[in-house]
This record gives sequence, C-alpha cells and structure tokens, in this order.
Amino acid sequence: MKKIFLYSLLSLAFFAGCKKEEVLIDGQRPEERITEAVTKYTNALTGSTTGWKAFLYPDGGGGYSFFLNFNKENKVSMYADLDYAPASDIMESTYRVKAFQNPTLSFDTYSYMHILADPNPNTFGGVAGWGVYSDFEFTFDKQVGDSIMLTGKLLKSKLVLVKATAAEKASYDAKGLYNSVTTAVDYTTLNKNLYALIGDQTKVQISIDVYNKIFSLIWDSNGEVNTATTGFAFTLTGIVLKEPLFYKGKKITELTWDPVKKVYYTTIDGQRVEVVVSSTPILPLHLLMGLNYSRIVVPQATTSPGWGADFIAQRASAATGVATFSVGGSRLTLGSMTYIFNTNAQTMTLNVITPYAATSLTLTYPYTYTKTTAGTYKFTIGTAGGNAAALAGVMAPLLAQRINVDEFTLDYFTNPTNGATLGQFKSVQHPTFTFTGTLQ
Amino acid sequence: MIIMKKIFNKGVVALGMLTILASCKKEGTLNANLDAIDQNIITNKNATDLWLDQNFLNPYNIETKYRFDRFELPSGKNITPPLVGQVIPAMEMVRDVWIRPFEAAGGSDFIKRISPKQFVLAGSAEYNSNGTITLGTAEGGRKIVLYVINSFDKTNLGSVKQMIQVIQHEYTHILNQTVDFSPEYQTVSRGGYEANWTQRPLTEAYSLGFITQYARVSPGEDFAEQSSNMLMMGGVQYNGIVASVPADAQIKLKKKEQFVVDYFKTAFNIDFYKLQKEVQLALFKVSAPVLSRMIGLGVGYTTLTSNPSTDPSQSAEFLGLWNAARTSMTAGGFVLKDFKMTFRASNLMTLRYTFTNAAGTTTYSADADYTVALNTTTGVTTFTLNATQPTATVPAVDPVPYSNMGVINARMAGVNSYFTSGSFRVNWINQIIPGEIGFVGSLGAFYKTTNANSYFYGTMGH
Repeated sequence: MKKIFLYSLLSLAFFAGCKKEEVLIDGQRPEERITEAVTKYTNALTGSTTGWKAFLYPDGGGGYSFFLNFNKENKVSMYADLDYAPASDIMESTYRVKAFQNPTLSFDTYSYMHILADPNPNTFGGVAGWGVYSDFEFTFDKQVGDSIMLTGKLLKSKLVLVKATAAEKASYDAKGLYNSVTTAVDYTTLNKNLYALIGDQTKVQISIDVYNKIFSLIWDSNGEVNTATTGFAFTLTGIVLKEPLFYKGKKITELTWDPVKKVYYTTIDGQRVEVVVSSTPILPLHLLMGLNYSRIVVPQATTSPGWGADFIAQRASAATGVATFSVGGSRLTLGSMTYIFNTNAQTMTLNVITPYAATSLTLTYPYTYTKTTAGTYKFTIGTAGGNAAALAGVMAPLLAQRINVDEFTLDYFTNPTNGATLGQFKSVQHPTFTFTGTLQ
Repeated sequence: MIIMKKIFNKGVVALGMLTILASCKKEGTLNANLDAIDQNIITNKNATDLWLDQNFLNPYNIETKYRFDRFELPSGKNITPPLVGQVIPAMEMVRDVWIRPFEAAGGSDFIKRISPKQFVLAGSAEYNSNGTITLGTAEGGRKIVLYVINSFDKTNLGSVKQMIQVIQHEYTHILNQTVDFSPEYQTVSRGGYEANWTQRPLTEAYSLGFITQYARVSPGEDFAEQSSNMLMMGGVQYNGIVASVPADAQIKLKKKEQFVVDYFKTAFNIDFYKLQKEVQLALFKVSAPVLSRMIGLGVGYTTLTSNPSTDPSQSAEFLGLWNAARTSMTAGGFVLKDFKMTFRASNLMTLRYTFTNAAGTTTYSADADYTVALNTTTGVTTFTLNATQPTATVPAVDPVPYSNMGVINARMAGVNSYFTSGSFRVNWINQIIPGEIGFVGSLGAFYKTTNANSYFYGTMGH
C-alpha cells in the first residue's frame, strides 16, 4: 500500500513533467523523413527514362547483369544475361520501394532476377532451397552520381545500378546483351588457353568461366602459382568484373570486345592490353601437376605419340622381363603405368598394372621427389613391398636404370592425331627416354 | 479483507493514472501521414489487383497477397514470389473449385460468413531442412499460404487438386474452429495416431483406418484429411480406396465418413454429398472424367451391375445372346436375372450371374474368375477366363465364391463367349443413354473395338 502510493506519486511527478512542445532534431518527423527517402529513390528509379544497367553479385558468387526500366505504375521490365532467352526477350514484373528500417527496393513478383534465388535447383542449378544464393530485395545504401548501390536484405548480395544512356537502351532492345553473351560463350568455347601480358613479359593466364561467371588471373611467380579470382557479368561491350583484379599493381576491371579484330582487350594505364589465344596451356605443366592435374596415365602400348626410342626399347625390355612371371599358369604382361603426384607431401607414386588372364596385379612403387624452380624433377625410390619388390628386378630397364636415377622435366605434348593435350616426361640424361600419358 | 485492500490499491493506481492522463492531454488532430510506410497500400493497382478485388476482396473480404512480403512467409527461408501471370489462373481455380461448391451446397453467403481472411501466394515451394518441401500452410484460420504457384497449371487436374486440397484441408480446420467436431471421432482410430507419420507407410495408415499418412498426426488433422480427401477424391475414388483396405479398416473409414457427413449437416446444414458432387463437377471442368482411369480396387469403381433384360438401349448383339441364354435357362427350370462384374486386386474380375428357380422363390449365384487387361490410357480391355468354378478366390469377393457356374455354364455359353471374344474399349454410355458421368451410379460400357454398336453396359459402383 505504502509502496504503491509512493510509486504513483513518483510517476505523477514524472509524467506531469511531460512537455507539449516537441523539438525535432532536423525539423522533420520520422514519417516525413521516411517518405522523403522513399520518394527520393522512387523518383530516381523512375527518373531514368532510358533505364538502368544493373550488376548483381550474388552472395553465392559469380555476377549477373540486367537492364532494368522502372515505370511509375510499379512495373519493371528487364533483360538479363542469365541465358540466351533472358538476354533477348524482355520480361515485365512488379517492384516497390518500401520503407523498412532503410528504404528497400523489392522486386516483389517473379522476374529474371528471381531465377537466381529460385529454391528449385531445376530452375538454375545451385542448392535446393537456395538456388545460387541471391537476393531480390535490396536496401538502398547510397547514390553516387549516376549510380545507386544496394545490398541484398536476406543474403547481402551486391546490386549496382548505373543509369543507361539512350544509345545503351537502344542496344539492349536490339539484342545487344544477347550478342555479347553469344560472343563470349563462342569465344571461350573455341579458345581454351587465353593469356595477356600485363606490364611485363609473364604470360598471365586468363580464365573466363561463362557458366559460373567466374573470372580468374593465374600466373607463375618463381615457381609458385598465383591466382586472383572474382565474379563477372556481361555488358553490352564485353564483361565487367565484380571487383578489380590486380597483377603486380596493374588493375583490370573489365574486358571489351573488339568486333573488328575479334579480340577482348582491357585498358591498363592508358595502354590497350589484348587477350591472346594460345594453342597450348599457358602455365608450365610442373606448376599445375598436383594442382590442376593429379596424375599422368601412360597407356599399355608398345609405342605411342611422344614416346622416344630409348623409352620404347627400355619398356620392351621390361615387358619381356615381366612376362617371365606367371600366376596360376597365366603370364603377366606390362600394362598401364600411372604417375600420381602429391605436391604437399612431395611424393610421386607409380602404379604399374600387370594384367594376366582376366585380372591384374598392381605394383606400387613409392617415390619422394625434389623439384627445381625451373621444373626439373629428381625422383628417389622408397621401399616397395610384395609383388612390386619381386618384380623390381625385371622392371629395372624402366626404374633402376632410368626413373630412379635420371632427372626429368614435364611438358605438354599435343597428340598429333587427335589434338589432345598429354603430359610428357623427358629424361635429362637420356634425351630419347621420353614418354606421354593422359593428364587427369 | 485482503480483497478489500487490493481493490483499494487498484483505486489509488487508477486515480494516479487519471491524473497522469489529464496532465498530458493535447488538442489537435493526428497529422502524421503514414502512407509511405504502410506496406499494404497499393497505389497503382494493375489488372491482376483489380481482378482480385472484384473476385475476392469485394465479395468475400478475402485479401490475396501475391507480391512478395517477407513477413508473410517463414523467416530464414528463401522463397521466391509468383509470376504475375500465374495469379489469376490459380485464383480462378480457388474460386471455382473451392468457393463455388460451398455456395451451391451451403448458401450464397456461406463463404462470406466463414472464411480465411487472406491468401498469400508464393511462386516456389518452401524447402525444409529435412529434405521435404511444403506446398501449403495455414495459421489460425486467418491466412492460407499457397506455394508453387509458378508451376501451377489450371488445365492439369493433378496441379489443381494439389492446390485446392490444401485449401479444403485448412478450411476444414476453420470450420472446426467455428463448430467443433464430435469428440467421439477420435475414438475410431484410437491408438493409431503417430507423430512420426512421415516414416510410416501409407498401407499402414490405410489398415488403421486413416485416409492418408498425414491423418495420423492428430484427430484434428485426421478430420481435416478425411473431409478434404472425400471432397477432392470424390465418391468414386474414395470408395475405391475404402474397398481396397482390410475389413476392419473399412468399418473405421465408413464411421469417419459418417462423422464428417453428420458434422456438416448439424453444424452448417450442408449436405456433404452434394458438396462433394459440386467439387467433383468443378474438377470435371478442368478435366473430364475418363472411365478407363477410374476402374479398379484402390483406384475407383469396383463393380459393374447390369440387368440386360430390363435395362434399356442394349446393343442388339449382346441382347440377342442374353435372351438366348434366358430361354435356355428357362428350359432348364431357371429364371436368369442379371450379372455383375467385380474388379479385384491383381487384375482379377469375378463375373456373377444371378438366377432363381422357376417359382422365383430361391435365388442362386454363379461365379467365374477372369483376368482383365485394361489399358488405362486407351481403355482397350480384354477378359480371359481363369476358372469356371473358382474353388477359392483370393482375395474373396464373398466369404465363399458361388459354385453354380458348372450347372449353368452350357446355357450361358453365348454370353460367356461374348465377354472373352476379341477386345473392348471401356467408356461412358452417355452418348446413348444421357446421364451424369464420373459419379457412383454412373453408367459405364464396354464397346467392341471392332464394332462400337456392339456393347454391354451397367451401373458403375462399389
């Protein structure tokens, strides 16, 4: 009783002090500020009569470009670089600018943009429930000149809107985006090995993954492989990177297609740098062995493209020796040989298959190796067990006389009959002890 | 004493509050304009918005929210919104297959009186962490969320049924919140309720007297599943399923059916079978019923009953054979009455002739087993005799098959060979005998594939 009376008295005193004149910090009420912000962004979006170029970089990686045209009836029409059809067929859906804690641009009915977020993996791949982890509701972060930056509400994907010019709008409406996508897909399908010389004489390999929208630079720096990777989206003129990639301080932000020379180029420090097509892979094999490729599989044959005379002779000699062994009356033969590289452990495992009857033995010879920065290998044999040890003697023409003692370099070898890129071992001490196998 | 004190205390507080309010009273109207903040104001109504107003908001006070609103959907889930073009086709079906039948059976104001207040449409499904997807949810009788609108196809019966099933189920809950169903309902399948229903097979649910696996969750869900499935399956399919389950489960399902029928009658004065028929008629407009897909145990019709002596519009060939058999039977001292085909498991069909002695005082039955090959797509059917006098039909039509066929077989030879000669095409007979198709009691016929003017027909049932 006493307490309640006390509290009541206290609260009375407190509330009695309530003021009637409000002082607003910036002279505006909250709903006025929100209305102003919503109106500002709505007007900005609908204010561009020639539409917006939009670049969406989903949380899940990659990048996608759109052309968006917002009208005052809350409708938005768009093209997108997701596939050929979205790039050429305009689609209309609805949008709203909503006032949440921040003004929000919501693409509130299904459009090309939602394809990325579609939880059904049959729509655009990705993960069931998430698609490629993208957004279709974005908060406005800031407006800088002709650009508006936004961030996805659910997954924090990045969306950048850039005012399009009348010429750009005309180009989108004339299948400009479709042509750009087609050009890139055709070019990268035809030309697997691309590089550029960026400021020095190092060939910097360029990888343009048009399906996952990933752009990478890969280069050799004193025997180490360096990579720089980011997402990209198609533009009317080429591709634009999610964020700039740097090679030794030189910045790349986009590639532009030169329709006359049929090449992509970028401009670095005011200089035009062209992407060059190579018929062979850019980086030396020894750098990629154990990274891109784990093994070289030498087929069962008496001769094969890229096999030198010494290898053919030594292999034939070993094959004769292997055939002196038999299991259950069936003679062994010398089958395929697989050289498996592990760069972390600095080991190479040689598995030799010896078929007999309908089955085979696998002889495993473990090696450690050292490698010079120039790529010269020296293999040291470890302890082989069981059958491998028993047949080590007859395998001597290949192993004890060559692999175990010589130094080797690795290189690409193009199969002259089918154009396939093979891996080739070359002995330093015996120039015609060379052999090839498929890279896996 | 204690009470007194409390009241006194409250009085002091109330007094205090009065003083507080009085001290802060302000004059003047509210001058805040919240239009920009209100998410529900659509200022630029498009054709879809206007259609929804005309068809749902104005007549029924039901809001349809198709534009994405994060707060209407489960949080933390990635769900994409509908295509605008999919909204009207989906809601047309909601109107035609859900609302209109209730209006026809319950009065034009029925949905206006009791209805969910909001439909929320989602383009995709909701993907759950256990690998399942959600196709529809409802909360508190107020809101129903319909998913996968983007793959909805109003010309596809399966698609329409899937969506309306959700509404019928949830609407049953809403009706239950207005008038509860009989507490005795839950005693029918007592002991069969099972939280882990996804792990239990449908056959087990059937054998315990549940129409679906989900019905096992609770009596409330059971009632909603029972009611919604009877509406959406229609009598033909529902009874076909009932006929396929064990005898004690059949009794349970029939009891539950009666509970549902009684509930609709006493609570809302609705004839449930009329409602069921109206729903089926709406579905038939999506896709006309095809008899060849509606025959078989667990599928639909299980019997064809025919009395060629009295049923009109018999084909000349079949009637000639039937009358010849009657004459022969009369000569043998019997009166041939009718025949019945019972479609059973494992493509078996039992043909039964019913006949009496000359005086008509004793009725006899004669059974023979056939194998039926029925192509559900084309309707082409053949009957092959298995056994003239089945000694033990498995599963049995009746506890014991009748074994009089040996006695009358020679007299029935003409009719018997009609069934086994060549192939038939099964279809309705409404082109010859006008009538409703797709319901229990509709007429179905088997036409000779070589001559459509030669056929036999009967009443399709269970």
